[in-house]
Amino acid sequence: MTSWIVFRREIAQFLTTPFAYVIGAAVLLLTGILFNRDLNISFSTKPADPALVPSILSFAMVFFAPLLTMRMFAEERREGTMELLLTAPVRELSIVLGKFLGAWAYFTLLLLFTGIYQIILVNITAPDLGHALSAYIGIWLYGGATLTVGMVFSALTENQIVAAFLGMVALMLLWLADQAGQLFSNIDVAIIFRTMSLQGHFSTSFASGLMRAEDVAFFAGIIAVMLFITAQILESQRWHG
Amino acid sequence: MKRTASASIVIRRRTLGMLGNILGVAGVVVGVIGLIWTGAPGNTVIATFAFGIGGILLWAVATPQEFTGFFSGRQVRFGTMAIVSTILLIGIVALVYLQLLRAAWTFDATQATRYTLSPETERVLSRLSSPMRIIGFYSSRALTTREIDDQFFRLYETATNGLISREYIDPDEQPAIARRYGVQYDGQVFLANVRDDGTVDLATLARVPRGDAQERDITEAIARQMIAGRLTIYFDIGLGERGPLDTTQEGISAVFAGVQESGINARTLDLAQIAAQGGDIPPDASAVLFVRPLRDLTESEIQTVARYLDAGGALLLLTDVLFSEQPFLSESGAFNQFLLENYGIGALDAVVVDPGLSAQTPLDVISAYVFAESDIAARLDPAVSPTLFSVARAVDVKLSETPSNIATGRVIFTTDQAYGETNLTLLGETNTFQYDEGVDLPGPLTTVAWSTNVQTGAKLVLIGDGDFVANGRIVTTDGAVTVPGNGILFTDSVVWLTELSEEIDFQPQLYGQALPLIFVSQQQMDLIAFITIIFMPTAVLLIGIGVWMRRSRR
Repeated sequence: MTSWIVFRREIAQFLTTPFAYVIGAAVLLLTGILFNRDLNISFSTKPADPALVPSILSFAMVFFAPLLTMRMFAEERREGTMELLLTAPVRELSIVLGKFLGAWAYFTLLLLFTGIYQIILVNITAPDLGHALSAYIGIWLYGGATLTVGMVFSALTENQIVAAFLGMVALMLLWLADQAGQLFSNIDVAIIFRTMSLQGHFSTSFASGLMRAEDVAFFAGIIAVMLFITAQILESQRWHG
Repeated sequence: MKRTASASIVIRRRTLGMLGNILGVAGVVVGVIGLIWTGAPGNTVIATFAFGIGGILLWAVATPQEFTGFFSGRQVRFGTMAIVSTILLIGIVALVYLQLLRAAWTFDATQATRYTLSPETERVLSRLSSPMRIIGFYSSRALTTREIDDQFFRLYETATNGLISREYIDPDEQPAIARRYGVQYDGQVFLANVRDDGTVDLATLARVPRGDAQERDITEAIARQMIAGRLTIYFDIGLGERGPLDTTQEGISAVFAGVQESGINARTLDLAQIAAQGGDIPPDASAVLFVRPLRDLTESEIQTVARYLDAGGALLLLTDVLFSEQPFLSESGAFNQFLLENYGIGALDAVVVDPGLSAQTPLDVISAYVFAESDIAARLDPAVSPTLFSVARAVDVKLSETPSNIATGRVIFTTDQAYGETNLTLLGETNTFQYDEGVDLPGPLTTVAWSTNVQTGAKLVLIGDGDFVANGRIVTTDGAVTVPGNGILFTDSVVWLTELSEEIDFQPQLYGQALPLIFVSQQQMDLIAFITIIFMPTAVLLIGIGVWMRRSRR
């Protein structure tokens, strides 16, 4: 119930903050340009790539997710509402969960907007909609995972810029881990790094039209662990005052 | 203090709970460390995780209040317990992940079911009775390729209940093994039978080609492996034919190696020697190939061939017009007459000239028409994979009044403008040709024909070009295919003669061909660009500005 209240407050905050719309417009502009570029390249030469926009977003989220989450706890502190939240008879996990669901709902809304590209493709050709659905489910889970990573850094620091920067660095490392094979000659080490990478659970499965249970578990696991860590951080702040 | 005998040891629930707590966390932590250390969910790692989970269950059962209190946060203190609980959660997540990884639960969302084995593949796999192994050589640089390939390989493993297994070897870490397998590039895949002791039988090693149609390539390799050793074809070398081991442009080493790689035993025989000794063609010969013999067969050699055919044998005859004494399949020669009388096909002493469809000169004959209903010609679409014969020989086919029990047919046909130049002396000496009414053979002419005895099962394919499968005509020096149609004609002729098609009942899925290309007008493109680049971002931005203005007014 507490999570529901926090969620409603969070989503309302997203929809009434100009910043969220700026990010939304930027995402749509970026995906729009790349979608048109791909359309021109594909013209009469190859079928449409239904996973194009989710694949673009998989990289874009490295930057957009920390921007969306950087204000989550830092702003609460700035406005002085953090103490109110922490002293209220609510569990930290409920607060964290509510805030996460709010951000994830906003991201879902953004994804729905990009559905326009699929509608366009349906009108000009016959894209593989099953493939598209798989890619969208994948990026939805991927986006959720990136948001939780951003939340950890938002809870760690009071400075929004620092939170965003650390979040971007962490996500960039998780994104680059996919290329571990280029860095490590030992294949076992490379496999471990790739297993921990975000791309390794998206590009060769969801983005290719294949949904694997272990990839769903990976993203769900990242979300669960990061939310738990965020809650632990808040808990420690409550105890430390 | 002295204890009495009646004193009993009391184990409290709290003690059990504490024990479970310690064992559970320790088990999970050790399991995670073990997993990171080994890089794979081995039995020890799984056992350690199970031990940890057991400890946690003991904790939950022995002291449920403490257990729930731990997760509700009341008893969690930052510091050690916070770290331990986080590690615990990571351990549980890792365990679930590894179990799902092992279970390999997947859902193929593509319309073309690209990640699902086709019914054809399942039919092939259902006939599999002995273990095989897919061996992939991937370095750390080819990790993504390995993962993509593994998605397919594990489908085969699951579909055969482990009869087909997977093994990955890093060629950088184990270069000696890579050399033993003959690895040529990173990401190369092999297939081999597995011995009873679980080791790979290198004698059965076969390369799996790397193409777009991955399922077809793997399944065909498996199907070939299944029939490996059951079929044997012989290349005759006793009549001056092209050498099966000759790697020069004139040799036929490429097709000889290709036959071997297809899982068919390829050997050589000397018909002249066999006939001279009064022997017979080996009974295990699924087919005998005569690739451009230089002389005709003697009476004893014809008798040897006749006995082989009467027993249901199969012949592939590749013949050129030769400007020599007693050339192979001379029109009036005894062997040609034997074929015409008994099998309804034979060679003509005429060179095909086709002004209607040819390459550099009218003597370079391109297949104009194919009889697609024939198994040999089914894949020989003239528009996609034409054949090219240089100095082709016309072939005679008796389509009516065939000998009893004999069925005949054409495979490749010239255009109507073609004719058969019969003045071979002039052609051989001056390289000139001209249609002479009443002397030369009017077109269209047959260049490839087949015959079969429906009673004995004997089969023949006669091809009016002795060099069309020479190394120089099949592949270039860098290994690229020059005339695909020639290779297909040879392969499908061998497949038909040996009845290999009945062994491999497989029609590959045509990936990527089901989806249409994008065709839009410039006007539509402009509209799409306007909607997606200008309208949508601007609309969202305007809403944002509206929200900001509304908030500012407050």
